[in-house]
Amino acid sequence: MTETDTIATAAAATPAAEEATDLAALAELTAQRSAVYRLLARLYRVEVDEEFLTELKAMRFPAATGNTAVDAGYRAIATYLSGADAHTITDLAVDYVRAFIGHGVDAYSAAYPFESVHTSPKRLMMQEARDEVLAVYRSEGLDKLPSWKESEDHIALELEFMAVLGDRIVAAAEASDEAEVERLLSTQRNFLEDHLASWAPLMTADLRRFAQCGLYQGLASLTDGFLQVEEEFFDEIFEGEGDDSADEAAEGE
Amino acid sequence: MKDTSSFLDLALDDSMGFDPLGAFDDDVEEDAEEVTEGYLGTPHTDVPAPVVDTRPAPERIADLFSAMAPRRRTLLGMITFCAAPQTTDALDAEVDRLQADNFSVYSPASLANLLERAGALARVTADGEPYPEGDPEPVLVEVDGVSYYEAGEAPEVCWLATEDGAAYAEADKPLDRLTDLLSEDAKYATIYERILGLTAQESGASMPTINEAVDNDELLKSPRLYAPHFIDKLEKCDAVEWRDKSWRITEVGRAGQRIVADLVAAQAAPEPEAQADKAAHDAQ
Repeated sequence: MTETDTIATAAAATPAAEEATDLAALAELTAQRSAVYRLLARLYRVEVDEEFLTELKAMRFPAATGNTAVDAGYRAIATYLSGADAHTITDLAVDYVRAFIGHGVDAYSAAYPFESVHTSPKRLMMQEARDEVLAVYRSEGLDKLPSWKESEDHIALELEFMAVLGDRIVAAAEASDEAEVERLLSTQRNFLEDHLASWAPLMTADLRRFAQCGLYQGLASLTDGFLQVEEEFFDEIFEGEGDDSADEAAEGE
Repeated sequence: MKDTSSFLDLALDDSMGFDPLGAFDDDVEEDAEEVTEGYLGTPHTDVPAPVVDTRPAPERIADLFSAMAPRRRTLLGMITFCAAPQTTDALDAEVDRLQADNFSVYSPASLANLLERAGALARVTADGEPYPEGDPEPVLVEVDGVSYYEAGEAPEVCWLATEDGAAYAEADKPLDRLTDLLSEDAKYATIYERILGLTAQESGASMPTINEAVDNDELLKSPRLYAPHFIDKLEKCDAVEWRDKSWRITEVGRAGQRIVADLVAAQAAPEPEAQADKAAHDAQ
């Protein structure tokens, strides 16, 4: 069952007696979504180390999720990991620098993982996008740790923010706090639309250009596909809301 | 997936009443300044073509050794070590041994990749067969009716010197280089003799010891030269090596000691012409 199927099933169960089941299904699904967000965040945050490589090699990657880009991404990552040898850590570290840091000064020499670079006219860091995401983090009572030396609009932090919200959704669902679940889902959706989904595809396009190893090529596909799935997920669970608003507006006229 | 290294922290209190939109104007200001994309004024939209060095392997290998001169001994040692297929772990250990007294920012993996790219080393299987191109396919498994990919197991990577790599290593004749050096620098034969003698001691010789022994020699006053100049030249000929915190003579250096002794003896002997003059003078 895909994420969309799961949430559709949950959304279809309207009787009060089934509400708890719906929330439980939502919690389970959201926990899975958060795990994917965290996997992506870790891959973007820093180079792969020995421990993480071992963890990746022990993972199972879904082969048929229903999203072509996700499937291609998982397959590319699994294929790369199949050929991993003793020098893989070094190869990945080199490719990480080549892909995300680059060696040029023209702002077009790497897949810069900062929203500001992709949304500001001069491709500069620390622009409006950074201020906006910082404000959103703080509105949820979050701030970056002092050990995080990059700016707040780094894709790893944006992905992690979605994961943290996911954790809170799980907690709220388990506490049967529907209002909080709805608020957090709405926050996730807005953040996805206003930030992640608005610029990540630009970065992943660059990532495909600069990365040479299969892991980061796969990461680009997986990111694209997963964000598409997320958008579809939110479209589906908020489907009725837009119609209701439209109906209300029509009635008002 | 286990991931405990979060960089987001619950550092703020929800009750602060922070309004995320309060800090921003609704109207987005247009950036009036001209946008420059790249130094040439055009966006770099083309996909960079992979750089492929099409030169023959011997040329690429020579180029690598020229560019990586300070790593020459390590690179040669790696090629020599890989005369038979060696596992990656074994090669890494050998590189660590070779660089034990000569730290490098290059990891064994980086050096192996450089030699592979130059055509001096090749990846092979444990049997010495060419390593399969590309990554092996992942394993497709089914769990509770759901298909998953699992990372497959690739054959172990071993490293083997190529014919071109082995030829380059065999062509390296440090004693010939040392002979040439001593011939060109015959004027400084006594300096070389002194340095090689010091480094031949059981405990080797520290840099201050060598400096003290040669820096004040009249020969080095004009042009002014210092001991490191000669140490560097001797090291490039593999005549001395830095080991256990002192300079020590090598087998090549010991052979050089004999050459330099002959040179010094020849220089000490009077010239034939001078001998004839002396004989004539004595006859008168």
